[in-house]
Amino acid sequence: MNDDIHGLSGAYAVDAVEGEERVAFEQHLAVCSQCRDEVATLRAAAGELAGLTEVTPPPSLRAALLRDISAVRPLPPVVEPEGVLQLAEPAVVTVPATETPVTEAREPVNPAPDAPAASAAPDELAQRRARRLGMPARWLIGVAAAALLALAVVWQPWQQSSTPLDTTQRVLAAADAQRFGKTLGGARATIVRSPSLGKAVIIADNMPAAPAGHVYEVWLQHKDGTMVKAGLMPEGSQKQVSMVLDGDAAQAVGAGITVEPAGGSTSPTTPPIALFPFA
Amino acid sequence: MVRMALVPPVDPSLGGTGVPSGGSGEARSTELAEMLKGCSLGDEQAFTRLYDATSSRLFGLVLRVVRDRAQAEEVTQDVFLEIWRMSARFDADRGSALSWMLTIAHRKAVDRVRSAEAAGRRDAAYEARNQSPAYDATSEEAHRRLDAQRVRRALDTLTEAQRGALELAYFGGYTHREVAAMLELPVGTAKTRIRDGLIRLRDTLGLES
Repeated sequence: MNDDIHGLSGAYAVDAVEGEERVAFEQHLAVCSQCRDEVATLRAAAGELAGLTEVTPPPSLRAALLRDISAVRPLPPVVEPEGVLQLAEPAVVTVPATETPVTEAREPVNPAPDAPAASAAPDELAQRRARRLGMPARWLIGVAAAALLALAVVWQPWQQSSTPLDTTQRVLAAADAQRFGKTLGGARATIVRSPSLGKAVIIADNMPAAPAGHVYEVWLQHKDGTMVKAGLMPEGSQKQVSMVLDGDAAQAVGAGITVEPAGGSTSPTTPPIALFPFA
Repeated sequence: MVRMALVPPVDPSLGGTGVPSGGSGEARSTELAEMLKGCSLGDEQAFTRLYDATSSRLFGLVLRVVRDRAQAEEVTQDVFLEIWRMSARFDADRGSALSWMLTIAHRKAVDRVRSAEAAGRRDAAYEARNQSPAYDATSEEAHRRLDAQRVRRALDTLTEAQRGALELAYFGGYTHREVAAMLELPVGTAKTRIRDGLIRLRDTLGLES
């Protein structure tokens, strides 16, 4: 366990960790049950403080909510689709230090108020921040600020489909489908690979838009370490995107996502924001 | 040290109607969890009971962070809609229902002040000078409550430094780096004070997992 990052549990429990640091800590949380437990108990402690500030809201708020909820469908529990060989959170992969785009050791940032949503109007502050952090980092801040918890995908289109299955559906329904997931701030990306079909699909939820003039590029990594272009993700912020990866997924040993200039690059020009070892 | 209940009973005279009062904190926590379960099944009456049992706590917290009443109402409305929508995702194994709801409320309140900040940055130095301790701004009703006294006593066991950093982060909605800058501390110090303060608070309140 990384002591330095572990020390963020308290600040994280009160939402006082933002940007790159939050992404890094959430990656750490995914693999450190001790930190998860500590965050849970510290959140409970912080919640007690709310007992000091109780204020009864106006009756109009209650009335508005009772009116509103009937138009909002509660989300279902997270369920696993049938027929998938490898179930569940495919062990959020531990990210070796070199992959983590940003770490605690990074030069202290100014008391930056962290970015709201990626969609927030650019302002002077944001521009300064962008200059300071560089584009990939800025993207990470956007990711971190995006949405609430990432929602697990309930993806079983083939069950209703009477038309021939497309590639995505065939991969997802394949008996040997393997899933590799990763949470990035409020976004979640999952790669589903079927070695028998030689195909892989990326499904991403709540991805914020890439920085202006940039795109997310997906890569397949081969045994010798080379990253081969596997496609550009659709532009703009999307609730959910799915895309079939180009190339032979059966031979690949992993996949990655980078932020590249519009139009994409032939090889990665920035550190990956996510890596998915096919192990 | 007496072990305190996980979720204190809510005084029914405060912002609550139709909520069974009394009983242990444990029992109340279970009741809230059951109301959330009802929400996940689309039971609007369960939602109404949940709202009545928790709205003053959630609204008070949001108001404290956001400060502006109209905005606090907007955020609170959003919070409860989110609770309704996400109710099936609540997992009792990972903490109490109230803690889950407060986590959503705090996150949304903090998001609101930070996005407002992108448009016009708050004067951090001014805030630091004028930040009053949490318990001074407490409503009169809360002052009367045993529960609040218990929390206040626990807060009093923190060092001045821990309490200051924790309040800026939790009620002020500042990041630990901002807190460090406001208090003119090295960056790592504020996060340590926040964590040590929360651990002290947790242990004093008997909240160990």
